[in-house]
Amino acid sequence: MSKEIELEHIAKIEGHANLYVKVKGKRVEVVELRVVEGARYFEGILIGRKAEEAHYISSRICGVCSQSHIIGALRAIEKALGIKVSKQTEALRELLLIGNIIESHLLHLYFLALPDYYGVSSALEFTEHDKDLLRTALKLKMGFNRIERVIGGREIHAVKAIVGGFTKLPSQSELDQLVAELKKLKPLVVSTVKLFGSLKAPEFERKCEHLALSRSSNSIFFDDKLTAMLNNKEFNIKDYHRKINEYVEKGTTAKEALFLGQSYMTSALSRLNLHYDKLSSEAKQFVKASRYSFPSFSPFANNFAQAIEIFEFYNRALKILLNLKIKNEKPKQIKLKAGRGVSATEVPRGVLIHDYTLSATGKIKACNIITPTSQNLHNIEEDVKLFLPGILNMNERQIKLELEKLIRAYDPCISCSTHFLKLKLERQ
Amino acid sequence: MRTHKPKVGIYSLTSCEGCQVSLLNLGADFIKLMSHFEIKHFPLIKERYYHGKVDIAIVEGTVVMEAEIKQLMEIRKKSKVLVALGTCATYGGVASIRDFMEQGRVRACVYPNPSFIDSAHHVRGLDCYVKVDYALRGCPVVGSEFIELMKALLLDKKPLFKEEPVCVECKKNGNICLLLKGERCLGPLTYGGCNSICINEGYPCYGCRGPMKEANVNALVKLFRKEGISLSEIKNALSVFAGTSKRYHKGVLR
Repeated sequence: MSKEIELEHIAKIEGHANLYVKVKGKRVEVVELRVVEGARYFEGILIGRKAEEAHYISSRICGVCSQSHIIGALRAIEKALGIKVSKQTEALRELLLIGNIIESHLLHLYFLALPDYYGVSSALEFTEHDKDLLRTALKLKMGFNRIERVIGGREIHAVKAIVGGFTKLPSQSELDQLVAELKKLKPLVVSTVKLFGSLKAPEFERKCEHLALSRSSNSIFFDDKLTAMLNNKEFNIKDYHRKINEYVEKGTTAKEALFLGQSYMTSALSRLNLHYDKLSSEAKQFVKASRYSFPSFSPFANNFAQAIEIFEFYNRALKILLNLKIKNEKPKQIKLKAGRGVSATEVPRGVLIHDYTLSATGKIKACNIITPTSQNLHNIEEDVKLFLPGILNMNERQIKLELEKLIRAYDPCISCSTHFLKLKLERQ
Repeated sequence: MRTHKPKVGIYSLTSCEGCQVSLLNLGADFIKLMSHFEIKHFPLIKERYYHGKVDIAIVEGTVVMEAEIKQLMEIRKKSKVLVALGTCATYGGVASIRDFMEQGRVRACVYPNPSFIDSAHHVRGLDCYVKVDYALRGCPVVGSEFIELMKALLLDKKPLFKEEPVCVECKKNGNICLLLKGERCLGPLTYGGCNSICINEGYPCYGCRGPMKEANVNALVKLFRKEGISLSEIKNALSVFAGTSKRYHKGVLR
């Protein structure tokens, strides 16, 4: 007996994808995650554009993590041009990125993931009893949007961050006000970590490679080295193409990636798995009190890892803000020249790579962008292969729900990998 | 008085989904506003595809694949009012940049074997395929304009949108004109309503809200040329967000 399951238009993820599964008896024969969003050819439309245009065009790859693409592109272009930005610029970029990571995590945790655990179809339908969840989610989201607004000038597709620095700096009073507003959010941040630490996830583990930036410098988000956890090796981001191979599956517009021929995960969970020892003692207490422990090879633990990050990065943002005394400085001067720059940045869903080659007149000659979701697509398929046999005794509706939970735990951003989820399960 | 809440479907074609996120970013105001409507379809945060009829279809993104043309036609057929949400839906947005490049080369930059990728012949606004009743411009869309439109639709009134270029708001905001500094700012051509947000923050307007009907494109091009900005650079700037608009497409970008 063979069976096909097709998850068509997987809802509550960012973008459009389908999942096709074929099962013969208890054996899973085919698993295909098909991205069905249209190709926008970003790496093509950037060709011939000026170096200074890369960030605001590539930001349009994704409205959920636009600031991440902005910062990734700016850092790569600056490397190609040999520009070193000031400490203040780095601090402000880190704040912008933290705002983006937290509000993206909030969107995923409260709006995309949580309804599954409460048995409602969307966050808009929480019962009267749980309505506070929606209020909490919105309050937090608005709060962290404020960081993006103050530092970047806008919550989506920031305008102030440019090559070499910022067009306009926030005033000290704006920053002080931001601190005051953020401080008020502490109880809600804490309740979020506790909530996601208490949720019971399906029991499932699969040992797989995890990739995250090393933390050789003091930065969490910007580093030139990547570490592979199982492989226990560190490599320079300049050599990424020797370790990470990109390929395109037939019938999809997404690019997928392998690390040394293996599928792998890059995510909040990967960051936590690799750098658990660097967590604050307060955060470690939350982990101890939760249903989870790290390192974890359960993709479902990614939800809690994101919640932990909300707490950690919230504190980090406050620390940066309290240490920041705004100096009036102009963006670094640009001297156009030929060159190549590769950046790796920790963004909401893992490591983002931007790679640009410039001509002597500063025009983009070649470019390559590897998003976290395209790195994770293959790993999701591998997880489904192992996860599915354990739930095949459920009815089809439940199977689909469980599979969607698994896929959603990765917080895939299909717009980023170019592209949507449809599940088709075929049984034989 | 209405006897029932209007049914709303928020649909998403190829896009960055930033316009859907912009709606959520309205926070409690969005929830309050939408309590007057019945949201039937909202794929970013709501389960399952709703295939039934709606009173108002709000469509984000644009047609980038042949398959999306059919999807859009179906949305039009099952809705009374169709709203284009954001610049991609209105003009094609950044994905339309490829229309101004050599197509095969663009694809080959991204995919080693692009022939099997479903790619529509060109990227345009939704009105290239269906009747669009209202267009909310902006990359991303401006939340307050969405509220204004939805209120108007609820009350069967005409929405009040500003018919003035970005320059009017920019002046009111007390900014020093970037044209005086010789910068390539598209404010004079572009629909206002964004509160000149980019220029307030020190960044020249890239025209994400598209050209006004009466925009004097040639005059601005002449001014830029006098400032020493090359024609190719001007064309590059005009083709980022709304190159496919008649004003640009049939004019300087032809």
